[in-house]
Amino acid sequence: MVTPVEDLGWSATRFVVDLGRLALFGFQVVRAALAPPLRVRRFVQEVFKLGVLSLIIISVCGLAVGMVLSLQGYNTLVRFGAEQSLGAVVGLSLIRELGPVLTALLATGRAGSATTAEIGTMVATEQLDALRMMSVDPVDLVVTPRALAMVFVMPLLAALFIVFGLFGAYAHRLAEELRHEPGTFRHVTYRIDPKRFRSRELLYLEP
Amino acid sequence: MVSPSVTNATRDDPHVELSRVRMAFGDREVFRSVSCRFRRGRISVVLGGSGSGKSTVLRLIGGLVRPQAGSIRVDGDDILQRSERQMYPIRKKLGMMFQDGALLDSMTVFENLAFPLREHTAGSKAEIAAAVRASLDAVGLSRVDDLLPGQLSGGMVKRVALARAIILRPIILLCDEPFSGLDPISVKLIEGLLVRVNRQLHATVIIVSHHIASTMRMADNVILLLPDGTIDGTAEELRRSTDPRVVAFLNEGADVPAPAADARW
Repeated sequence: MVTPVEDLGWSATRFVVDLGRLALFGFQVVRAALAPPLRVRRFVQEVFKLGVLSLIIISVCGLAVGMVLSLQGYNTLVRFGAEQSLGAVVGLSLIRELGPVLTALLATGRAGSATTAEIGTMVATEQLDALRMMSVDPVDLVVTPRALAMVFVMPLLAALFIVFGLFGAYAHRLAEELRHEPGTFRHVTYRIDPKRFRSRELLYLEP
Repeated sequence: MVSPSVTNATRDDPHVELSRVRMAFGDREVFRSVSCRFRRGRISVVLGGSGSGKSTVLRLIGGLVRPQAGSIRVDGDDILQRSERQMYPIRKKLGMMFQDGALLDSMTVFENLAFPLREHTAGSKAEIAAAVRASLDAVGLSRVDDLLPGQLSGGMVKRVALARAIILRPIILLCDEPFSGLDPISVKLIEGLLVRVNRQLHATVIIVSHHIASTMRMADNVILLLPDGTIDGTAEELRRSTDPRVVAFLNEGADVPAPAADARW
C-alpha cells in the first residue's frame, strides 16, 4: 500500500520540481537575452534554420487547410443560401484561430524537434561542457539565440500560413466554379476577378 | 645560484588539490573519499579502471560537477565556494581537452579555435587569425581551417582539441583520455605535444588515461585511482611497487583471472 502512495508523492514532487526548473530556465534565457553580448550573427543563422527552412511545410499545410475549409464551408453554407459568407468563415477561422495554432504545432514539430535534437547532441558530445570550460554560458550562446529567433519567426510563419490558407480557399472555389459553369474566356476573367473574393466579407473580421 | 631545495619547494606546492572528496551521481557512489594533489608545473597522470571516476576527477577540478563533500582547491581558490558564474574567472586559467574533442560541430576548425579568442580577448581579426594559424602550426596541422570537425580523423580532432585548450595560454591543462582510440604514432605525437605544453608554457598538466606505456614515459607523478582510495608516486616508484593492486594494473590486467570459460551469456 505504501509504494503506490510513495510513487504518487514522488511524481507529484517531481512535477513541481520540473516546473520550477522550467521557470528558472526561462529566467536564464530572458536574462541572457537582455545582457550583452548580443549575438546578432547567431540570431540570423537561427532565423534561417527555424524560419526559412520551415517555409515549405508551412505553405503546403496552409494551402491544404484553406482548401478543406472552403470545400466543407461552401457545402454547408450553400444549403442556407449563405455561400457569400464563405470568405468571412474561411478568413475568420484562419486568421483568428487555425493559422496561429496550426503554425505553432508545425513549428514545434519541425523546428522545435530539430533544435532539441541539436542541443541534445551537443550535451552528449560534451560541447556544452566545453563551452562552460571556455567560460561561455551555454544558455547565452546556444539557447537564447534560438529562443529569440523562434519568437521572431512565429508571427511571420503564422502570417504566411494564413495567406496560403486564404489563397488555397480562393483557388479551390475558383476551380469549382470553373468546373461547374464552364464559360467563355470573358466569363473566366469575370470569375477570377479578385474583388469578388476579397470583398468586404473576407476583411470583415467581426462575425 | 638557486639552491635546489628552494626550487623544489616552489615547484612542488600543490597547484590543484582534492581533499576527502565524496562524489555520487544519485545513488551511485563514484568515490567515497578521494584526496590527491597535483603539483605545479608537473605532468600528473591519473590512472584507473573504467568507471573508477577518472574523468569525474577532471570534471570536479573544472567545476563542471559538484561533489557531495570535501574540498577542491585550484590555484589557491576553494572552487566549491563559488557559483557557476564565479567559476568563469577560474576557468580562464584552465584549458580542457575532452575525450572526443567536444569541438563545436557547427563551426569550422578555424572558427573553433578563434571562438575562445573572440570571446575573451580584444584582438583584431588579423591578430586572431594569426594566433589560430600559430596554434594549428604548433600541433602540426595545416590546411584544415575550413573543415568541419566531422570531417577530421580521430587524431586530428585530438590535436585541434589540444590547440583549442591551450589557445588562451592556461596555467593548468586538463586532458581527458588524450590517447584513446589513437594509433601508436598518433599517441607518440600527442604525448610529445603535451610534454611541450608542459615545458614551454610551464603549465601544470593533469592527464586522465589508462594508457600505461605513455603514462610511464611522460608522467612526473602518477595517481592510481582505486575504489578505496588513491596510491600516488612517481612512475618509477609505481613500477617498483609490490602492492598487488598496482602490479595488477601496470601489468595491464595480466594477473586478473579471466571469466570462467563455462560462463553462459
